[in-house]
Amino acid sequence: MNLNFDIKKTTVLKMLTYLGLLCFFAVLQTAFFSRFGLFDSTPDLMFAGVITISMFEGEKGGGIAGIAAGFLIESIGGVGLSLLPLPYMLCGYICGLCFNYIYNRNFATWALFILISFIFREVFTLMYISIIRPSTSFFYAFRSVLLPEYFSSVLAAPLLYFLIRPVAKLFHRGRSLS
Amino acid sequence: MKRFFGSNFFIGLLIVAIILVTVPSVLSFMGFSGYVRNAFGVVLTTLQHPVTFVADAIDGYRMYFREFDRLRDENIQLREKLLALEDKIYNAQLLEEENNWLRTYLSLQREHTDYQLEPATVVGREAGNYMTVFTINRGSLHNIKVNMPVITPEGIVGYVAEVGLTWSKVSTLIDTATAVGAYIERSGALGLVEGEYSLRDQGLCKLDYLDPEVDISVGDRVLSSGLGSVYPRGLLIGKIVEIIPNAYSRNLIAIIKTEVDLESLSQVMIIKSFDVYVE
Repeated sequence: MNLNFDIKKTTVLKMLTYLGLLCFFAVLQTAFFSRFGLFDSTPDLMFAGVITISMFEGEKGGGIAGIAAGFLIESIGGVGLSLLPLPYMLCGYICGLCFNYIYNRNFATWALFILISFIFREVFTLMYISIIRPSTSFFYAFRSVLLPEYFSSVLAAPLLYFLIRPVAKLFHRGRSLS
Repeated sequence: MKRFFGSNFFIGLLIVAIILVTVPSVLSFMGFSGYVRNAFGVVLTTLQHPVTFVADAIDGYRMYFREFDRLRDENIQLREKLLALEDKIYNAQLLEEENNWLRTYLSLQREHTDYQLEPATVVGREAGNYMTVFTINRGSLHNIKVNMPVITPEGIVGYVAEVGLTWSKVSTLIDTATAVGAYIERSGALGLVEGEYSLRDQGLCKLDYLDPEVDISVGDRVLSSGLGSVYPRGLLIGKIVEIIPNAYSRNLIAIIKTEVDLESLSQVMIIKSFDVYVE
């Protein structure tokens, strides 16, 4: 099967760098923000990281980052059903497509994508809650889980943008990045 | 749409994602973690240790301020409680003093059944180092009359010198205008206790008109003789602290320290009536 990508040295280095960053975000999310989360909720740094990487690397980079991020966070933070690689991959791929062909890449666009993408993230969370805790009321889930998770993730996301952007600039010299 | 989602790359990604969802889930339900997931777990949990250490440090710092606020609030509450309890203790002490006073009053009444006693409080004093006249809160409304003796359980204080409606002025033993017929308890020698200007500031008075051959010594107790009908017989006046010869006659003078501490007096009793001593 021809997967239509070339593996270069810089590409491998870039992938390893992003993997390192994602590992750092995974550790930060589970060991630090799990104790000091905003609105008593742990922000989903990995999801925000996937969207940010997809902005700079396109749909291929976003998709791979999504798989890696989902796998990493399930490795240290998950137990039982391991669903996150799939939605993370889809989000990274779709956001990458949108960034490449429809929107300019700047902070405002990134922020808009974050705000919209996390709505879908919370829909996924709601579906997950309805599977593992079917007796939970929608109002309780909305008030106690979805809203806090949304706002804590959206507010923590700029940290990832300003950490990933210098790395992306390093590997994309010559391209204008906002 | 087909160009984007039908591409080989996307299909490959989708397959990998599905594998990464199903295989770890199945292994997890079977109780296994999978080699790759296990390896990542080992590496990442190792990296979690320093981050957890930093989080613990920040949490400890944050707890310090939380504890500080909590302790400060607790401190304020405890201070208020303490003030309230101190008030209670103070009131309890006052009640205890009053209770002791009333017990003494009752025992004195039982000891001297002929006395008609009226308790009173000292409300004013003469401005000076040693009080010779003070004001009490009983007057003619309470059937107090001039010349009534004023005592405490320890002994004689003085007599009522002036009476108002709700107040009276009491002249103490050490006042120069006071004279009390007295006797020495041990020998029975009679004399007259008077105030002396030079002794007043020291809280002393003198026992005069003592016979030069009288049996007297320092430490002897001096009691009221009952002669003169102002004071009942047998009430303690004080103790002899010094004996000196009278410069102008052959008599002896005994310097007496009053038994009652006139400086710290707060509660007294007025003897409204008693059986007069007849020799």
